[in-house]
Amino acid sequence: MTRALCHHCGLPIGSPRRSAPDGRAFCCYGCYLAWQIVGEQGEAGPAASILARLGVAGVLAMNVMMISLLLYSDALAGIGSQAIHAFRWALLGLSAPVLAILGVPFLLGATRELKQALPSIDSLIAVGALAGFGVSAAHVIQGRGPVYFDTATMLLVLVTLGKLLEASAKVEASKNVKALLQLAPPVARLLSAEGEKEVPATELRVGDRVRVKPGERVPADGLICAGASSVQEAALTGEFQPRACGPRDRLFGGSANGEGELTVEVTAAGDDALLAQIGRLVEQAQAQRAPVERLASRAATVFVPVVFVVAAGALGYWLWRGDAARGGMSALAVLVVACPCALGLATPLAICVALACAAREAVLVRSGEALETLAKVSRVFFDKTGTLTRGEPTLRAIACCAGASCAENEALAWLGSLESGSEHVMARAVVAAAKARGLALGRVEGFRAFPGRGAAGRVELDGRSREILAGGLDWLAAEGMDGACVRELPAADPGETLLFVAWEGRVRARVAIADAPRPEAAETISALRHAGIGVTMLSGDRRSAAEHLAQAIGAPEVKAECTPEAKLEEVRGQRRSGQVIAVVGDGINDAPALAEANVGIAMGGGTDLAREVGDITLLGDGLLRIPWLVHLARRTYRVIRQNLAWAFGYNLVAMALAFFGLLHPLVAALAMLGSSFFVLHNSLRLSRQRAPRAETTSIAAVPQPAAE
Amino acid sequence: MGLIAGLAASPHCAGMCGAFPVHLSRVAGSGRPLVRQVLFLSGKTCTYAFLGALAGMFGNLLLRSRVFTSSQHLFAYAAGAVLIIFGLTMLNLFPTLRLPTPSLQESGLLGRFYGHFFRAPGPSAALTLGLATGFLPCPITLAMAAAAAATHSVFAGIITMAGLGLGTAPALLGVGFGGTLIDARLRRIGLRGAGVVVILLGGITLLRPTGALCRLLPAGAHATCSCAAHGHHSGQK
Repeated sequence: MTRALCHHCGLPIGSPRRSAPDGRAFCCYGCYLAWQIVGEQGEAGPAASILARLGVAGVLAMNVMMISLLLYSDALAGIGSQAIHAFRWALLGLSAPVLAILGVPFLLGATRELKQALPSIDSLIAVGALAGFGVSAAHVIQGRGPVYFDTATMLLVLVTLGKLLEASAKVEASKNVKALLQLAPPVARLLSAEGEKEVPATELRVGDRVRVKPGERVPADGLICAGASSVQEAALTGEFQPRACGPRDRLFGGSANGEGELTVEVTAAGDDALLAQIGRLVEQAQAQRAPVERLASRAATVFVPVVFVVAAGALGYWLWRGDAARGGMSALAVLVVACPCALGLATPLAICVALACAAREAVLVRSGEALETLAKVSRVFFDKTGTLTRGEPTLRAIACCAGASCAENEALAWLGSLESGSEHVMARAVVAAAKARGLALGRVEGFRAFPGRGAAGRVELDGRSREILAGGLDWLAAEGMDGACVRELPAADPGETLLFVAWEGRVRARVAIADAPRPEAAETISALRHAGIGVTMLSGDRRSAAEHLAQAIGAPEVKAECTPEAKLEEVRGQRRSGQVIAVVGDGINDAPALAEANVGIAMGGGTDLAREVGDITLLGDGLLRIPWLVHLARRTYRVIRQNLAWAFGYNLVAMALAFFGLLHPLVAALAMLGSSFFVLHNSLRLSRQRAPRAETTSIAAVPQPAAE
Repeated sequence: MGLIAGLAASPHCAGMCGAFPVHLSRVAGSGRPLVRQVLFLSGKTCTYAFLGALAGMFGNLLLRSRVFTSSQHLFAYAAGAVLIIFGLTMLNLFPTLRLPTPSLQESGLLGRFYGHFFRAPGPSAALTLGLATGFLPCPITLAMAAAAAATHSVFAGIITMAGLGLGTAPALLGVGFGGTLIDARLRRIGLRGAGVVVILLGGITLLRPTGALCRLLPAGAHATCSCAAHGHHSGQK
């Protein structure tokens, strides 16, 4: 379920509490008030009016309090009953404007809440203040009975200022997302035939060329046309080390340019740029209701009616005991001390802070539900290639079969020609090796990929045309290729992935490809295991290569030679056995497993995040963010549990104290505000969570496959 | 006493809170600068008086409680000791106690909250800013609140704290119109001046219930002394 976000603090709005005349929605009165003061309209409009109202109401309420204290303390005892009566009328006169200034917004809010059949804080405050004022005014007119003008007015001042303070604190929740979006510079240096001119970045179009000077931020996504520099793109990839880049390298809007001047051709700008996509996805995730929120939402709907019943009960109880004054104070205290805000804030605030915190570390969590599930994960499946390894395999060796009647370069040229039609990382390694040897590659027609098995296609090379097949030995055999000659080849290194090329009925050659593990892979697995989470490595590779890597990085379980269907079946089986499964993959050949998992984590998000698979996307490298994210998710749910325990516990104890007349209403108002602040502060603690960075020493700690 | 403390602490207050009147006199906004300054100071003095009333009520309640009925002068001794410790800390002779300073970092919650009141520097915002400024934690305000509590009287508490607000007003007005902030050295001198006054106040609070003060003062001043002592005792009835 998707909800609107508050225009001031960015938190989801349970129901439209407040709306500005221009349709902007706010989650509470505090945010509406704060926005009126600091919003785009500046000093001339509502800001001055709101501040005037606050100031005048503050002065009046303080004077009401001072006079009341003078009356309570008997300081005016000697001045006679007529004078005391005059003071009571003065209190009435000073309080009425406060009620009009600060009480009306709560009354309007209460009316709105009642119309939506969702009474909340506004209803409680409005009823409390009105009751306090009404009873006191009646007593002044009658000339006898206690007055509670100080309580009624200070209650409104305290709650108004408390809500304003709360709104200031809640802004912290969306600070990280706002800071992220503000990385994109507002102005770009557009290059045209007339020269260079500064234009708003929002006016950039695909194909435009822009100049980025040293130290400036890149205004849009694009490709470097000229120049070389280093760019820092931590917000987009999680990598804090600057990346060296030159012509044809891709840049993302919001990255900070280093020492060189760059000319960049825009490939995506405005809402299509990666940065805007990230912001949009985080906001969408924040607007969704997580399952854990449902309990709090259900409780919140019955909460306020229960409070009214308890307040009425308190009044009835004390009337029965013959103490009407205490009954009034107790009922007022019950209304004021009850804190539906704590219930309402307990879950969404913590989730919003956690999602924004993850976004700051270039981790996109697409919903609060994904975060909730991640907190319960019991086993993580890692795809091998491109996930636990760098995803940049290199061709280590090529060996031709005896009697294959082809040389190494010829086999590589045919294989490279076929693989030029593929986007697979292994294919890219083969093509790169062929080009490095200066081999001319042919044209491939009818390219067919068999995920996890191999590829086939008709290749035109040097005037000849052949149906080329490349893949694992079993698949080639199944395709009718004779692989007997492979037995004569020297044994391959156990850490290498083997790829066989075949044509005209028989296997011709074997290429060995190796991909180094990511430096932080071992630390990541160790951290997950330390957190009590099982780790399994899934690989389509041959068993020896997969086991070699698993041993090197400390993965306790490995499933090798898995087709995408086998990976899917493995995940499904584990889920059936009651495990909560996360799958980490690159989102290409492991997309089905990612989709089947309770939580799919896709590595290295591309340029179009909207189409990425997975519930969570890790932009850039940095596997260590996975255990960190699990830790964040667990911590978030611990905070939610604490918040809910506090909200229920506080309300129970506070209302009981208020019922029995042990709380003065003003102390109750302070306690209510304190309760909201506890929840706020507890949730905002999450924003201090920082993802660890890979230590350079860990690279040396991970054994590398031996080069042939 | 509050007025004297306010005057003595003027350089400190002008240094610590001078940014507010300087802001009000410099920025463009509706209303004449003098009106804005006066409203700011009125707001601040109103908050001080309110705090004085609360402190006085607190002292009054303590005095009426059973603890202080059995040990009549305990609160005066405690308040006097607190004032002397505060004064010594202001003179930098009691280094273990860290004094609160009215600091408003832009990134902090208080900074963001008070930032609202800087948005519209008209007369209304000046009044609200003044009200809010009075609540900023400050060693002199705390010391005078303790003194107000020691009077055991809401009325005397209001007078004491309102005096503090009025005492600091001339310096803040001067800073507002001079447009310059007080440098750190002068601020320290002001804090020390206020420290001496607070120690004196602490001494008086300590000595008042013992009757020693009456013996120290010239005959003409006895009326005030005995009056205070009398009031003190009458409050316990």
